[in-house]
Amino acid sequence: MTVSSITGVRQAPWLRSVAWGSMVSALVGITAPGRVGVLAAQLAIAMVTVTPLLRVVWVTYRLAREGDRRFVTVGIALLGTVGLGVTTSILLSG
Amino acid sequence: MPAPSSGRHYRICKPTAHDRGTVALDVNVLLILLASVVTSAVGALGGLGGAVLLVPFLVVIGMPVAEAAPIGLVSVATLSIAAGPTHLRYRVVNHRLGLTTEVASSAGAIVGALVSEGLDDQLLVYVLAAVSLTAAFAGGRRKGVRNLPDPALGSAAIGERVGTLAGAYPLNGGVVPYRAIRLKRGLGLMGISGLIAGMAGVSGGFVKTPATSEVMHVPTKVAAATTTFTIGVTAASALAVFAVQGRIDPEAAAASIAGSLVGSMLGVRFQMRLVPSTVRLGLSILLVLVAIVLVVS
Repeated sequence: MTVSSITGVRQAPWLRSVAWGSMVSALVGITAPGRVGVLAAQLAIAMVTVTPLLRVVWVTYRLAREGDRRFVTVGIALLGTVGLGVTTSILLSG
Repeated sequence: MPAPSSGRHYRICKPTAHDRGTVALDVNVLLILLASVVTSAVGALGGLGGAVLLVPFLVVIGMPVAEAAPIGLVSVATLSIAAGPTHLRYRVVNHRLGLTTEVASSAGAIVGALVSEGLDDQLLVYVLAAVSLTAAFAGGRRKGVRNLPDPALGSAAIGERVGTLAGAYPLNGGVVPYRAIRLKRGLGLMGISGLIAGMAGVSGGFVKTPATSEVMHVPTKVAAATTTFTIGVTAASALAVFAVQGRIDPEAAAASIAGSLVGSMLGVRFQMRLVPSTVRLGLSILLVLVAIVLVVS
């Protein structure tokens, strides 16, 4: 069996940056008054929500480059599930 | 991201710092911040995450479960990002396994998030109490090392295997091979863990890690690291639904993010100085008390 080149090590510095970025944004969000505070808080929420999904996109892309079609399908299915969930909630709330 | 609708009561009292237009911390935001620090630190010590303590705390101080759940999931996603670099450095995350199990978890989380808005709060409190008891049981039962190093394998063998749910990871100077089994049963449990996450706002990691380790026979270290990756995706899936529903209070969620980051860093630092079995026992007792308080209150 072939050992995969996907280790995720290159994600580490990027994840650290997101952690610190969301920390700063969250602190601004809870201390700054008015619209600035709300926007900073929403940015922090967006960062922690989008980052895990971007990790899935990144892994799926790496799997595609490695030619592992089976797990590329799984990655697309996962992103499709999240997309379907968001679409359903939009339709239900609308 | 839409703001919470005006009919909801996200805060225990008003006005907030934003409403006043001053640079000052609202007392409830400060409470969520401190609670997130403490619960994330204690949760990180026991390897369960902080949301399983944070959400019950928010409920006990008067917040409905449906409104505390998004704050808990924000804490889960934050923990997943904060712990990611450490797990990736040791090359113990199996991304193929994570993607596969996460399809079921995310589907469960989305269904849980969609139905939780319409469920009776008392029912959600009982779900949360049951979750606390399950987490107490799972944490107390966790086993040690099952898979042993293979002397025939060198460091070049470390990593995932292309096209399969197999791999090898480093342990005590050796290399341990593994292969996930009983996929259908594992996916069923992942779906349940996702449903719990979407409904109650806790990570479901206390179901995922034992399911991956004990049912699918993946080494505990790989199971825990892969779970840390996937709980972030589960939380993000449910949070996307909550955002559409307008159930995320930006100020409270921001307090949870800042507190969870500080707490998880403190927890990991102290984790090295404490005996794991003692910590897990202490956390199990605490979770049983949480369940009792939830039902009684």
